[in-house]
This record gives sequence, C-alpha cells and structure tokens, in this order.
Amino acid sequence: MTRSIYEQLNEYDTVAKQRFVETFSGDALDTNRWSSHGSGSATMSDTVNGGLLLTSPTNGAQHLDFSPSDAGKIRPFSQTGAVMIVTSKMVQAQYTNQSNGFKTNYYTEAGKYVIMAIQGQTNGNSSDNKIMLKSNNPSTSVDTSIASSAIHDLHTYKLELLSSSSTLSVDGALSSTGFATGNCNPDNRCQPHLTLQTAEGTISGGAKANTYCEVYNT
Amino acid sequence: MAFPSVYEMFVEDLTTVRKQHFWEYFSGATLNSRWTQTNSGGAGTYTMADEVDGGLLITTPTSINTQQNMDFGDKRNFSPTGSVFIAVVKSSWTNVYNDFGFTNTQPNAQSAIFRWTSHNSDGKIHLLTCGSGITEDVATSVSGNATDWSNIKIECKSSSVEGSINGVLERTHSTQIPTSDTKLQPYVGIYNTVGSAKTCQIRYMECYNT
Repeated sequence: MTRSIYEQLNEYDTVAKQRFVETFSGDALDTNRWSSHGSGSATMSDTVNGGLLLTSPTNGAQHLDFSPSDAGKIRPFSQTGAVMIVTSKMVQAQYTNQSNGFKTNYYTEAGKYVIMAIQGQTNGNSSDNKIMLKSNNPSTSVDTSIASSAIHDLHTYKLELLSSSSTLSVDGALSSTGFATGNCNPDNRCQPHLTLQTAEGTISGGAKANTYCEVYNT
Repeated sequence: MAFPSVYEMFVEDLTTVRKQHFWEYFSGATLNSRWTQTNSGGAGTYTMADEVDGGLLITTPTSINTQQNMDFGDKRNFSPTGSVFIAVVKSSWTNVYNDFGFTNTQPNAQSAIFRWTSHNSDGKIHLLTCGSGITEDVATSVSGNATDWSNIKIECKSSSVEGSINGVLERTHSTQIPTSDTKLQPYVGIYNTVGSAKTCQIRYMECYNT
C-alpha cells in the first residue's frame, strides 16, 4: 500500500505542481496561509460542519486571499491550468453576494478574475438567487440551473481554468444542471480569492461558510 | 477507489496505528509557523514566491559565508532506521551548498540529505549521509541544473539509506548512515559561498515513519 500523499496524487516519476488543501478546522483561521481583508470577520464556526464563517461588515466586503499587501502579492496558480474545489454555502444570504475563485490582483483592485458566484436574495425575492460562473475577462456571467433555495446548503464547487476557457461544476455535475462554461480566463497568474459582500442597502453583515478549499495547478 | 478517511489512505485498516506523518504544501501568504528558521552570518528571507508553482523561496544575504536553515527546532520525530523524506525542490546551484533531507542537528552529523553545489566538479547532485563519524558523499547521475525542479525521495531503512530523484533510485548507502540511537528532523539549508544573493525553492515536503 502506498504510504505517501505524494504518490496518491502524482506518478512517482513526475514533479508535482503547486497544490494546497485547507480544511478550515481549528480555533482560528490559519493566518500564515490566508490574509483576511475588511472590517468584517473570518472566524471558525462553533457548529457541526461549520468550518470557516466569513462575515461581511455593514455595507462592505470581507476577502480572503494569499496577499498580505499589494506589493506582496503571492500568486502561484496558473491562469490557464488550475483547479479550485471548495465547499461552501450562504448562511445569511439576503442582500449579499459570495464568490470563490481565482483573481490576479490585490483585493482593492479589479484585476481579472474567474469565480463561482452566488448572488443572494435582492429585495427579498428568492428567485434572484443564482449560482453562476463569472469573469471580467471578458465579461461573462453564466447561470447554472441549481434551484435558488439550494444556496443555503453546502455544495461542492469545482472551478477549472483551462487553456482558453473556464468551467464550473456543482456537486460533480458534468453537464446541464449544475454546470457552466465560459470562454474566459484571468490574464496573469492567480491567487485564490474567497469573498462575501453586501449587495445593496444598509444592512448588517451577511455570512457564508467554507468547510474545504483545495487548489492545484494541472 | 474512494477512501473513507485520510487515515485509511495509508494503512491497511484501522487496526494499524499510524506513525508520525506530515505534509506541507508551501502555499499561502507566509511560511507556516511549524518551521524554525535560523540565520548565520546575516539575515536571509523566507517568502512565498509570487510565481506559478513557486512555493517557498529562501534567499541568502549578498555577503559571503552566510547560512539559512529551516527545520523543526530540534523536535526530531523521525526514525533513522525507518522513515521517508519526499520533496519537490530547486536550487540556484552555483556557489552554494544547498541541502534537503533529514538531519539530527546539521548535515555534517547524523544526516541523510541531497546536496546541490557547483563545488562538486562533477556537476551532479550528491547523496550525502553521515553517521556518528565520516560522511559518505557520492554523486548521483542527475545534473544540478539550476532551472529544473526535482522530486527527491530519501528513505532511511534499517541498514541503508536510499536516495531517488524523479522516481529513479540513484544511490544506496549502507555505511556512514544515521545510527539507530539518533533521531531526525526535516532540514532545508543553503550556504552562500559568494558575495551575491543565492536562492532555493521548495513547493512540497512530506515526511513519515515507516
């Protein structure tokens, strides 16, 4: 029986590419790995399968990435060959948007990104809820057909950056429901970027939970 | 095959008590705090590289005869007679002594490491092992090319040390190997032999007792 993680994930005679696995378990977020930006919070949840609870500030956003500063950006993932697998859910969705994905720049800059995004309820209309593949290079927004009520449940999202396109699958879907594809890529190397932000109005912070995040170059 | 747990990926079943095992992805904003960093002769840097597949970048000062090490701060959990070290690494090669592997306290005593250095006139990566006395230092067939990443594996067995690079068993040492009464920790070290900054990178490490 193979005894190493290395040989479970790679052929023995190959040189493994960059990878990390984050299980969001413990008494606090691993701040060696993650930089948390914003006046909200990133705390470990005291609930079964709670993982990390990311809470936005009032009328603002909370971000997690690898970059403690603009000058100190850490972006080890390829814009044309990388995968993010993440489990997450909306905890408090109304008037909030969440996303998990890849971004080229510091959190204060638009940069280029490809993300899985959930647009939470706006104006209390649950039909506004959508799980989608989004990018700004070029502008892309492809909805999955996941039921709007599903955003409050934990799902496994797989976002893949390919050579000239990107795909999103929800809970292993390879086509149709729970799948989206777009001809979009970031234009530079990337870091993982998890965020929750308020969408409109003066509301107290929304919240999302993440229980797992794995990212690797392909 | 789907495994019910990470634990069961590596043992036959739950009746087997798993031994010490860790793995490190060197991904994130900064180096994980499990590592102890030691600077000798000047302060180097230990930063995550802003490059695709860059992992951790260790950079020496620009002065000669400086040394940067990282290890477990003499918390030595690994057996000299039954352990494995796996890493994906790269070295700037020229005018450095750059070591990756197991050691008790330092590479010149009780150790099993791969060494990158242009001071070896053969231009090859060496497997270097040491017991309580003399070091055995023998070339592999692999060039110490500064642009290449390598997958290295060192296995300490009951009466030998095996060193593999990129999946090929390169060297087996059966003398001058860590003695059974010692204990080992993972080690990365870079010694600068010239007056300009030198670097090494590492993007994966895994160590476990067998």
